[in-house]
Amino acid sequence: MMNYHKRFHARMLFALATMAFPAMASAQDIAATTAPASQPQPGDENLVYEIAEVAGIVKVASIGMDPIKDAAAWRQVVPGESLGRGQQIRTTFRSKLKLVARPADPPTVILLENSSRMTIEDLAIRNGAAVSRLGLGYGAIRAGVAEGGVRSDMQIATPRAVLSKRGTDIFRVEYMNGRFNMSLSEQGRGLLQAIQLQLSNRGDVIGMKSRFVTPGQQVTHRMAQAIESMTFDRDININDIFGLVGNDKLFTMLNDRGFGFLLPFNGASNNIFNGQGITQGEDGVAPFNNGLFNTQSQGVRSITDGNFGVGQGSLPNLFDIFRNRDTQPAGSKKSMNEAMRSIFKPKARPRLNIGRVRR
Amino acid sequence: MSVDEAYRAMLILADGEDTAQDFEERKSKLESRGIARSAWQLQSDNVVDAGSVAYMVCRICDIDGGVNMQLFGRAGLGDRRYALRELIYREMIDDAVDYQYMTGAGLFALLRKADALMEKKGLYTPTGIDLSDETDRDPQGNLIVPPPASGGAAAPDSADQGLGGGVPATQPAG
Repeated sequence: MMNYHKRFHARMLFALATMAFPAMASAQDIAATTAPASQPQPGDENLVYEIAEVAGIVKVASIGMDPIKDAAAWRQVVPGESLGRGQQIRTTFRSKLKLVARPADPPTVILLENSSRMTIEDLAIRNGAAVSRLGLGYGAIRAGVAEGGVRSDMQIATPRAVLSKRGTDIFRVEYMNGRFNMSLSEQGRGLLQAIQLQLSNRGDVIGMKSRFVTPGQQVTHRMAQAIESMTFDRDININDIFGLVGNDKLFTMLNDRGFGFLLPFNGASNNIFNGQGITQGEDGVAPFNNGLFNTQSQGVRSITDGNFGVGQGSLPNLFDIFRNRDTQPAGSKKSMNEAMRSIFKPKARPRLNIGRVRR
Repeated sequence: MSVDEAYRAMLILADGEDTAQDFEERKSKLESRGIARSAWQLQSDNVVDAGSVAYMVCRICDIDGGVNMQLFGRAGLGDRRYALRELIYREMIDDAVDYQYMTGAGLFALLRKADALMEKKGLYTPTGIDLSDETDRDPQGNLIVPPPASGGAAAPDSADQGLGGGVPATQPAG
């Protein structure tokens, strides 16, 4: 019963996430990539992958065949052969395979790199789109899909992530030992959508994170972790803006605020915002003083005696102790105690009328 | 992974196949080529450690490493540790210590990257098959699609017909 609830919540979370992001692949799409093989639907037109080039040992079998237990079911492929839905391909060391979709609209080229295993879950022209659902057990796939008369709907699923193509060529997805890497080439066109599945210990999908990959970019298995930590990615100014003077203030202003363009240039007296002009400041540097940002009017104090700690202001109460002691008549200890009490008198605590009130 | 399995994997990585009949033959082959060291005294059923695998991969892939690996590693002092550090630096293996045991998935991931590195360095005849911006785009930047191959077999229509379709293999291509 407990397991049922967990699975139900996981599916609901997955469905809600899919509804929240329409651009993401639907749950049915992802489920299709993880299913053994989808069945052809009425109205499907034939779409196959033709083997264009083969190097090394590349074997094919139907989905479900084990490379060791069902070794007899695997056979070497040859150029010109066509592969369709429900088949799986594996390459070994020093071997590669290049596939081309037929009919070639949209033009599609797939390269299965060395030591890889790929399944063709679904492959058909359906509802005016070339639908292809590929699974990558391990290894790497490179693919390119150019624009054509027929829309391309391609997804490549790995055990940990799903790649959804958005009008893209040439992209690469690699999965090995629990880690994935998706990249789009420098001259690639369009976008990739990388969907990282977050799985429970039992393998249930409990969430997912998604990001788009633009040409020249790549994402890895750390994507979800980076997205979660992005919440805390804020710029925090660690400089003491009240205690800075001269060159320090100028450096902070130029590097932390982006206000450098407001500075008067070339020693001119007026800047682009028609400031009040330059007055020679400390260290020979003009203070930041113009029409938009008048530091004097904002009450920023310049401490000319150096930087004393955090610069959040002086400690007037502490100094008041000594000032009061100095001003009191000699031998008047009571007056000193009164001064201390007046300085450190407890603040009135607000009554919230909650809980027990002592009367 | 046992030492015997690791030795077999190293021979396949180095030569593309393993023709040895037993562990002793594999061991003598690897030690005679300087890929493995007899000083390790590894036994057939021992669990292979990451350092030993890293050292063998470095030797097969012709990875020289840094100064420490050259000075001390060649003499056998920290040879496996420096080899592992080198592969970690090259992002071919996850961060680990040299005495850590090697899993099958980890070894396969390492060998796959080593195989790609060997092809890149020309340690064996390249396959010549690629899909990249440099080789598969025309001057306008459009994707080049290979022309239809002649004599292609009929396409299977369903999963059931998939196994029967296609031309039976005669010999490995390429």
